[in-house]
Amino acid sequence: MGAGSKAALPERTQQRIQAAIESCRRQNGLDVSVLVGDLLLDDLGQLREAAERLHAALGDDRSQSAVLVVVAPGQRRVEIVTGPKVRRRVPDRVCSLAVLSMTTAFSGGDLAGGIVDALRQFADAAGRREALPAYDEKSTELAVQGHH
Amino acid sequence: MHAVKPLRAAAASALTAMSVVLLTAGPALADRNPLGPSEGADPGSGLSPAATIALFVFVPLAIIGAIATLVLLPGMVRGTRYRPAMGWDAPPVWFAGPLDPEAAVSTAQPGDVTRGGSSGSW
Repeated sequence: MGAGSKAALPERTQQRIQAAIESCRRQNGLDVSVLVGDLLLDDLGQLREAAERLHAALGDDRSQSAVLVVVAPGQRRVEIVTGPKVRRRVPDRVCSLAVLSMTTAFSGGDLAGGIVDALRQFADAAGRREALPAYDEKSTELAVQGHH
Repeated sequence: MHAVKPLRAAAASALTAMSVVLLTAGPALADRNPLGPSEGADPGSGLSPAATIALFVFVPLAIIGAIATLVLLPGMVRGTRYRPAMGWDAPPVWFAGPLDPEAAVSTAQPGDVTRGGSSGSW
């Protein structure tokens, strides 16, 4: 199904997400990671568990202080996972509001807009801190998780 | 039953379009005006059938084509767009993820860390 044989996240969408992540790092010292894609799961109930596992996969340091947004467009689910050290800066209340703006934008077909909006809300909540260095490996296409 | 309906609808619109064109072009194909020229009128030589068809068929078609192009072009240029009901078959992309995602995910240990966040669906 889907929109053709060479379906991929449009270039423009990727650029906007990367720019939003960079802005969070530079202006707010906030480590944000975004995964856009369906996860291979037997049951959608496992999505939260899978998202926490992906968050742990960020590494020992980053899984303490990073915010991970998992967007599964085909499964129509979004998960936000925050590390223990960043929960004060990005509380669950802010995450819930960000989820609300994302689901509203996504149901209207606007992937990039929803994600950029959510990241802006994280940034507003987190306030300004010393900039983090730019992340060099900007995005990685995953082969292992395939499509659903 | 359902497969027949679009065909019928297409046939009906084709028939309507054709009769509209023929009725519009009919007077131009006539040899002369049966009512005769009104007083003081100085009719020209009239349109040839080829010119009539060009004027009433090809010009409207060109206009329709131009408008359709203007409507459809932005979407075609923008490429595939996410539609919630159409599913998703693009490979996952991880922004600012681990350097080697496959290895990192397979060795990840969520541990007993208390993570925060939120979930939603649409």
